[in-house]
Amino acid sequence: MEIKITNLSKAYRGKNYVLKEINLDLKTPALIGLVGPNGAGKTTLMRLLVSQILPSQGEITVDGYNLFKNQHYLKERLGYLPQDFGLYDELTVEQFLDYIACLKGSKANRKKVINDAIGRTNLDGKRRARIKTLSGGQKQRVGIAQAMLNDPELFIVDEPTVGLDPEERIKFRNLFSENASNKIVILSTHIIDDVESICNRLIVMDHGIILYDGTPTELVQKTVNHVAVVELTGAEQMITEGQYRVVSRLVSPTGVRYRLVGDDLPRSSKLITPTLEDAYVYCMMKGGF
Amino acid sequence: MTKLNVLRYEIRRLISTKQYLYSLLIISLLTYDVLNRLLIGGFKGTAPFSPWSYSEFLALVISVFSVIVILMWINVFSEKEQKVRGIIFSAPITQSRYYLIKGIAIGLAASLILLVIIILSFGYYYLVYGFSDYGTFIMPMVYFICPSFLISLGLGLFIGKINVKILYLLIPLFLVIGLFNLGLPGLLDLTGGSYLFDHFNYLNLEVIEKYTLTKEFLCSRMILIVLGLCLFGIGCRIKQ
Repeated sequence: MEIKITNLSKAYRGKNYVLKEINLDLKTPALIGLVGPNGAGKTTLMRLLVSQILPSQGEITVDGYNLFKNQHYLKERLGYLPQDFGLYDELTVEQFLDYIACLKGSKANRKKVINDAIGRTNLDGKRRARIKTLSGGQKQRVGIAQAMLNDPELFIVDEPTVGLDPEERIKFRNLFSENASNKIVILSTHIIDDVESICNRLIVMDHGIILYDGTPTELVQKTVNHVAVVELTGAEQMITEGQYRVVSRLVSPTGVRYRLVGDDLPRSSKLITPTLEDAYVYCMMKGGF
Repeated sequence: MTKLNVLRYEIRRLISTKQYLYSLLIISLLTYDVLNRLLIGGFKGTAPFSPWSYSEFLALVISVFSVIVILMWINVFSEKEQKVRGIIFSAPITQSRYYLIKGIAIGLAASLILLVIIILSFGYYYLVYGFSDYGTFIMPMVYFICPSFLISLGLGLFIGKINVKILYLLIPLFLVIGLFNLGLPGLLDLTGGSYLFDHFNYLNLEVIEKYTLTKEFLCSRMILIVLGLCLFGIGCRIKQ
């Protein structure tokens, strides 16, 4: 599958642009991490990609077909989990998945497809439980399970690990990774750890534009010599943000240890190897690379 | 086949709710009350089991029935249901087809309620009067149930697609039109109750015996049926 996004913009009421001139080329196989602060335009981009909203300008093609004229082509190959989704509480897990499988047009081996999704999302013990009796994390798993039905070629998940405990989060990001070998997986998240662990491509967005598009490793490399730590004793003044950003602040018996990112770091600081989180903060601070 | 399964789930979801159970309970109590209190003496001097009395019974009950249909549509457009749409519309099903399925499900679930009303009334006539010539009630059912049913089904979808809040206004509207004699003209007389009250006094004995309704009234009922179907069709096609 190949998705081309050309000069894509989305404005509400004709003037409030939430996406501006986005250009992207996505090809199978790919596991793409889409990160950015709230209001960056990630969800809008995803909703455009699943043709739930129309663009103000620009186009998206899927395997050469215009998406908005051939929605059926995309939707037959799509698994999508929106950020803020609902489920039919009165149905059981199995019934809800069967309902979605029917909508997706699964015919002969519907039962097998459902069992497979239930197994992969660790919902075996809850298959006959009504959705209203499930915890938030279990409902999130049902959401992921429905997106996995039919083994879609394009798998788009918006904040999928919200509400999951750390162990489940690791399990799911590995599951997304396993799935990415023959498809495009787009994972929108606030959790940099998730992206660092599994994504081979990272897209950083803010204010409706793309600040960075490349591999996580390249982004980290661009941050080398721009991350440092400084330890200040209690008597010294608090560090203030200006030329640099404070990524973390660790209180110790001897003082406070700051992790800083920026171009002009304090002389007393000591350069360290950047992490992806440092690189993300640096990218946001610079307004892109 | 798979879309039939979706329809099956939609019907199951509708009839397994508390709202549906309460609706059945309320309409059954209303049916019992109307039959026992208002129609036991017959409508305007006709026999309690005359088509005129049965028409009056239907005109009263159908207003509450229409409210039940509107409440079902309110559920379809509730915030909770809208949140599921994010997932549903990522599947290869068009909005038109999806709302068509929803409409058919509401239509069938509501028909079950109608069936209960009809069975209760038939049972009442049989037990109280030993009357079982139910064939005489077919025309009243066609004239008084079909237009109201289809207009509430079509209007519910059409208005719900535009703004769900307006749907709430239809509840008092149907109740006022159905339960009070407002002397409304045919097209606004959604339940047919005004016609029965206003025009019955002017009918001669022969017309009363044959259960003949005026052409104007029949025409307005036909227009309401067509309008209901059109609103349903347009409602299915409106993109949200």
